[in-house]
Amino acid sequence: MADGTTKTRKKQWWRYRWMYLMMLPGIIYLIINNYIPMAGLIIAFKKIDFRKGILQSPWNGLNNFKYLFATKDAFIITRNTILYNLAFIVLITVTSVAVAIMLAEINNKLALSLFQGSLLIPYIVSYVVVSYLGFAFMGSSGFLNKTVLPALGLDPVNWYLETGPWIFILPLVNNWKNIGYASVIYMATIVGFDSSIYEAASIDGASYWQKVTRLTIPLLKPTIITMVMLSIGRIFYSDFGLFYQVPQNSGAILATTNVIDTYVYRGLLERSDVAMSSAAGFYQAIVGFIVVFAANKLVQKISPEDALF
Amino acid sequence: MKKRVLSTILAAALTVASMTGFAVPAQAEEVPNIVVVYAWNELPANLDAIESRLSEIAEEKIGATVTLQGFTYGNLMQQMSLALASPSEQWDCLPGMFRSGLAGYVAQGQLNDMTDLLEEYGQDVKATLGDTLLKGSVCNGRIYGVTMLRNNASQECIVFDKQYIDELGLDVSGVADYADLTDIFAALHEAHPDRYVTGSSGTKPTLLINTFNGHDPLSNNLGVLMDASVPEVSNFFESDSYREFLHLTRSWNEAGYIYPDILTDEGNSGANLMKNGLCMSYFTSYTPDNYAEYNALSQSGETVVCPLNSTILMTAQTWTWTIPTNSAYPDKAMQFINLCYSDPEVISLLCYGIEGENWEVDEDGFAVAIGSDYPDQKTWEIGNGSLIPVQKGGQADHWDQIKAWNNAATPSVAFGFLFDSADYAAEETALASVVAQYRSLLEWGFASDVDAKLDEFNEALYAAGLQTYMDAKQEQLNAFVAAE
Repeated sequence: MADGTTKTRKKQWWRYRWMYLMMLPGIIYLIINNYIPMAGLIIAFKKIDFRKGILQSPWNGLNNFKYLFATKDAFIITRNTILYNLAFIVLITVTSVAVAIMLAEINNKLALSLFQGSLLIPYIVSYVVVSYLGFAFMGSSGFLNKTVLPALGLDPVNWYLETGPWIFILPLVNNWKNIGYASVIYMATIVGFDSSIYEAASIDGASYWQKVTRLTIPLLKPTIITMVMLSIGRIFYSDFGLFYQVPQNSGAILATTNVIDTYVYRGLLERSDVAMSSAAGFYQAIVGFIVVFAANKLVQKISPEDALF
Repeated sequence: MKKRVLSTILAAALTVASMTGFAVPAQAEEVPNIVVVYAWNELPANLDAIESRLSEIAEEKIGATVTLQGFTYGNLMQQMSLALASPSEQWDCLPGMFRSGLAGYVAQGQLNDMTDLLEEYGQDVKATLGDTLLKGSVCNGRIYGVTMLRNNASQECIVFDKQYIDELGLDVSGVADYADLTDIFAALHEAHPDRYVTGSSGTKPTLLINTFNGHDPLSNNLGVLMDASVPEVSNFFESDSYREFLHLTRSWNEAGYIYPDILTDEGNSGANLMKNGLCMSYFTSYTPDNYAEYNALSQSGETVVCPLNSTILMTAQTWTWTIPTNSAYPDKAMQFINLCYSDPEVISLLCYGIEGENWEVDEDGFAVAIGSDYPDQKTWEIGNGSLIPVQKGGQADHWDQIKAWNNAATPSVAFGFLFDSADYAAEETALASVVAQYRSLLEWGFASDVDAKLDEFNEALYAAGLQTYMDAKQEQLNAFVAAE
């Protein structure tokens, strides 16, 4: 019996040999780039002395982590990071699924590529450029202050000094920038659905809206869950460009724009302390890991067949 | 289904994977090759020609060839953190920009102790700087860097575009303090309401760059000496004079003198705005007889400069020649640095470029640029710029003026002192964040209620551990003063 299984295994290996060969460069890349450097996590617990090297440097206990928790900033940056990421995940998922469903309905090739292209452009634009676009809108002599607000009879707003608006500006910019890319994945999945199901539904008299809610969305569920889980793993990381460049690194609005990554960057810019920055990375990775496991457990409870692992 | 989705995504991620290059380790050569780093605002177009000429001279004088690695200022600061953290990188001579001093780098073992090397190979460095200036980069009694001969003292100033001053017939000779500026600003604003009156030389700066009324910021203004002759650490942001100053700048802002996007405009410094005719003046750090540089940043090509407040000599290393730990030939590196304080050809190559190609001496003995291949000619970064002709626009006694001004500055009682903040990293990080949040905003007068905002600033500082930080600073300073 056992012999038989091994044989089948071997057969399977042989059958998929070209697949495995194709995987090889990727696996090697993953090992070199993502696994070997993990040994460097040790730096987070060291008081680094470049003369002695990483291994010989003295241990520093948890001192390198202290700055992430010791002050009241710790609460603000953790809160901002998590809440913004949650908002981003919800917004991006809802809007990009909607956009994907709408795009899938377009039959005109030219129109489709036009829409997709214009949705994707923001994704490939660098955040430095985005920050200038934002400045053109929100600067003291920008579009909003010189054109929009006067037209509405409102006073100009010093956008980069007011904390309030950024709670909306940041998710808006993030969504604008990433929606094209996210919707491509959903659209690719929708296009792959068996059209006979839809035909059957039409024959049964299902309305368009019913097809969307009863067919498309349930069929998309596994993709959505996978995408959301991948985002949740990075819930403790933040898009540095978005939080640093777009608010123009303005100090006055730190209360609503400071996240873990920007806090670490600002704090260590002058210290260039390798160990402290490793500690921050370590912290983010560990928490992200735990959150993914917890989320997966939750999915297992709610709908076991959709859990990632 | 789920597996397929996952594998699609993984496959997509993997296709992004690309080959990485491998660094080839340097071969052992007969003639040692040293890597010299240098920074410009804009790189010279003929960097290769300069490098090979430099290499020839170095081979002849110190027996080492030179690889010249050019960076722009901003780029150097980023590359520094990376290169100094990678032992495989070879950097022998580094004129580094150490914004918060050498202490952090020394604590992490990233810089070589230069004390003995200086004794053996650095005679001209020592002769140029003298004991006082050498003391500015001492850590735990050892020398880890040597500063360049330049405006080593610190003072603030304001630069006006001369066309506006002349046009209105304003007299700025009496300006010695910030309060004196209000009337001049008012006159400028009235005559040119469409232009901004003032800004700063940097992008997104604080108004005060180095010192205020001769106070010693002890490198980061978190615990300062209000009176530089008394070693008593106190909170600068709580002082009455600072509060008064903030009320003054608030009144400037309310009157519309200050460039409204100064806190957020990444692209334009006040100096750029002045060059474009949008701004009529800007605040910067003072250097005597620096018209060559100031004038280049004005629309009319002429400037009026008013030094403000008093001059002080403090530990503010910023640009410093160092020999990083990843240097392959520290002794050759020291010898090369010594050339930057003694050999006119090495100095002029790095300051102005190749003679006859990038610059020439005019009939009055000044250095004049030829063409635009070498856009950033300056003498402050080299070591001893006084050995080559003065740049056109300066005065013949340029270096005497600089030396006299340096010597006239009151040395701070903490000159040579460096706070070792290794054990207070958590506080320092939190404090830096608080300062980023309030300081520029207050100094440029954007807070509508100055007193309330300033109190909030101070409360936030103390909540972030300012007292602990200042106590530690005081303790180390006491030990330093006692040892002196």
